[in-house]
Parts: sequence; C-alpha cells; structure tokens
Amino acid sequence: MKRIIPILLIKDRLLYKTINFKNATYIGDPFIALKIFNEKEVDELIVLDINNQNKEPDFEFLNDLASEAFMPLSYGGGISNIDYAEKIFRIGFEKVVLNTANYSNFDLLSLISGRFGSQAVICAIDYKISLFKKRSCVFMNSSKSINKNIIQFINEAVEAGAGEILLQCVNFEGTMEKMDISFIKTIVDKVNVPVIGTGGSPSHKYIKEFFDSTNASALAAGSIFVYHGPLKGVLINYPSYDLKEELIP
Amino acid sequence: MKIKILDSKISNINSVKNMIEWIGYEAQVVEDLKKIDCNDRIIIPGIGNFGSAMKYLKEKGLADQIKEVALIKKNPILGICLGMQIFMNESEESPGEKGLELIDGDVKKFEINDQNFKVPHVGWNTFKGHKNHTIFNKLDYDRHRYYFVHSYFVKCKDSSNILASTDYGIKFTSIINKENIFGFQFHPEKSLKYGAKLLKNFCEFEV
Repeated sequence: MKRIIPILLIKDRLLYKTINFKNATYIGDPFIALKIFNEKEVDELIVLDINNQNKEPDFEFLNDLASEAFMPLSYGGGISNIDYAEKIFRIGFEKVVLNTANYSNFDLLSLISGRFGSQAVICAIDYKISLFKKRSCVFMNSSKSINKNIIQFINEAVEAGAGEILLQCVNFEGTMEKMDISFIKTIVDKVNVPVIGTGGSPSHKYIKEFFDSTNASALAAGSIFVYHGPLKGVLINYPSYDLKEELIP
Repeated sequence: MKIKILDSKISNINSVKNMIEWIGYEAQVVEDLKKIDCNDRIIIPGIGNFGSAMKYLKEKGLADQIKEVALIKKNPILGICLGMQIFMNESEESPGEKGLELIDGDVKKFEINDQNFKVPHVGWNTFKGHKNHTIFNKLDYDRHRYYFVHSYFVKCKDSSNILASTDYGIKFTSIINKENIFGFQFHPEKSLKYGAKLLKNFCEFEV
C-alpha cells in the first residue's frame, strides 16, 4: 500500500515550515496538528527537529508528542549515537531518520540497523541542484556537501542497513511548485529499498501524478498538509479516505 | 479492572500504554505478573528476537507466571507481534528455544520470492475474520487497516485457533485466539482508531 506522509518540522517545540531549508515560518502548536492528523487517519508521520543538529534530542517533548500519536512515527534531528536512537524507540517512535550522522561514514546507521533492524532506520538524502544541473548530497541542514554520485551514496547507505530512503531536493523544498520527479524516478528504479520522495509537491491532486510517474513507496510533504489556498492560510489537512483511493494507484 | 502491560524490556510499551489510556482504561506497566486480580487484562507487547525474549522470560520466572495467568487464572491475555509469537511452541528465528506453548503451532519465516512482497512485511495491511467473535465488534470492515512490522508469522496446528488472516504474498495468520488467549501480529497501538477499537474489544472481552 503506497503511503502519504506529512512531515512536521519542529523548532523550539513549535511547528514551522521552511522554503529551501530556510525562512522558517511559524505554523502553530504541534500537538494540535497531531490531534488533527490522528483524526484524519494519516498513514504515518515524520517529525524532524530542524534546530537540533548538535544537541541531544528533546526527549521530554518527543515523549509528550508520541503519547498522543496513534500512527507510525519517525524522528530525525540530533541522533548522533545509538543510545539516543534507543531512547527514541522506547518513547514510541518506530524509526529514526539519519542525515548528518552519515556525513563522514555509515557507522551509526549500521549500528542502529544491526541492533533494531533495518525497518527502524530511514536514511535522509538531501541534495542540491547546482546552476549547471549537477546534483550533490548535502548535510547539516544543507550547509555541507559531498562530492559523490548520489546513487552510489544511497547504495552504500542501503548496504550499511538503511531500510528506507527519504529523498529530498533542497531547491524544491517548500516551493509548492513541482517535485524533481524524473530524478526521484531514476533513484527508485535503481534502489532496492522503499523510497519516500519529498520536496515541492504543490497540491493533493499532484500526489496522483507523483504515483503515476514513479514507483516510489511513499510521498512525504509539508506545505500541502499545513497550508490551504493561494494565500497559504494555515490549515492542517490530509486527503480523505475517498480522495486517497483516487490518488493512490 | 486494570490493563496490565508486561514490560519485557524488549519492547516499546509506551505506545501501548498511551493507547489504552486514550480509549479510557487504566493502564499499568508491570515487571511481573505476581499480583493479578481476576478481572485484570494482560498485554504482552514485544519487538525483537524470539530467542532472547524467551530467555529473558524464563530467567526472570515470567514464562511460568504468564502460563499461570493464561491457563489457570484465565485472565484475558493479549500478545502483540513478538508477544504473540512467543505463545507458540517454537520459532524458526531461534531453533531449539521453546516458546510458551499456550497455542499449538510454530513460527515461520516469510519466504516470498516476489519483489512486490519484501521482507520484513512493513506497513499497512488488513485482515479477514475467520469466524464471528466479540473482538470484531463494530469494526469498520470497509476501511479498517493495521500496521505490521515482522519477518516471521505464526502457523497454528489447530485451525480453530485462527481468528483472522492477512494476505502478503501468502496468506498468514494475523489474529490467534483460544478461549482467553489472544494474539495480534500487527500493532494495534499504531493503527489509529481501528487498532483502538480492537484493543477496546479486548479490554471488554469476558471469558
């Protein structure tokens, strides 16, 4: 069953939305968003702390969040050792999302996957497209990059134990214009684990186009689930059961 | 009545506790089953490895306590995921390690050679009930779905212990039941209102 996954960006315990990983705009109270997502029967949720690269995860806050979430949950942000990951699992999250930890090697990813299973580890691949259309992986909120073929990098992550790939283009993130769909397709066709495509989806209607043109396992998005209408008024939303039937092949 | 959740140190008990409280019951995490009232319900969540789970339960004397509660006191008892698999005789995951033998049958590994059905089976799926039972009260059969994460599944020797089955490349048993003993292969605590409904039905089950 293909999945549609809201991404909640958290900063100082509040819900934000970014554009190109920058310009964080305050959205509201994450607990209210969570309650609405419970009622809307979301497939799962990804919670990313965008202000937490070098700190320990805010376990108290995450515990409160998990206690009201009755769907599968993933968390990313500041997971720099296996003890943090274990704490996150005990709190009630099913998966951790690793990005910065993979900058120099996949040791942590491999360790977590070995102990908790590959289904518990999402490798987040953020990438930028240069003026010359060259794509390269970026880390630490897109502040550092490495010069390596993305497919090769992903295959190494899978080899190390990543159970899922969260593939996100920084240039498209939050723009609500379109997604880097041909590249997502290329990756999906070459990678052996489920790929979650994200970054740039303009509307609920677009989800159908996404699933029609790629074989990705899931689409994740932020803006379309927190904004409504051309003026981008804040409204937490998610496709209804019937609409989902139309959007997902 | 209390819902007592056994902390077997191998599992994520928080989510189960949260959902039990959400549906309006008093949940208590316990480290053993020495003090069980006759109307308490027991939940054994579990993720991890069959062998290490059984070793832990035997070392701590919990294996015998679970058997006593399930077979002699006859409290309603529910195993979730690995917590269900340990109710069986043994598992291909840990050959030689005996299970609790509450329900006759074994635990097998998925062997599906089809790219569409990857192992582990992770994600939303549904089930078909094999017979009427109060555990299915007021389920929304058109839309219900449950969250699965597993590489092994149970195979009952006695088909009367199969309450529901699920398709994933093959048809496997996703709910087992024998009198007061229940097992769910999926995670009701992560399955939105559908999981909540099943847990509520379990809490209300009378032997």
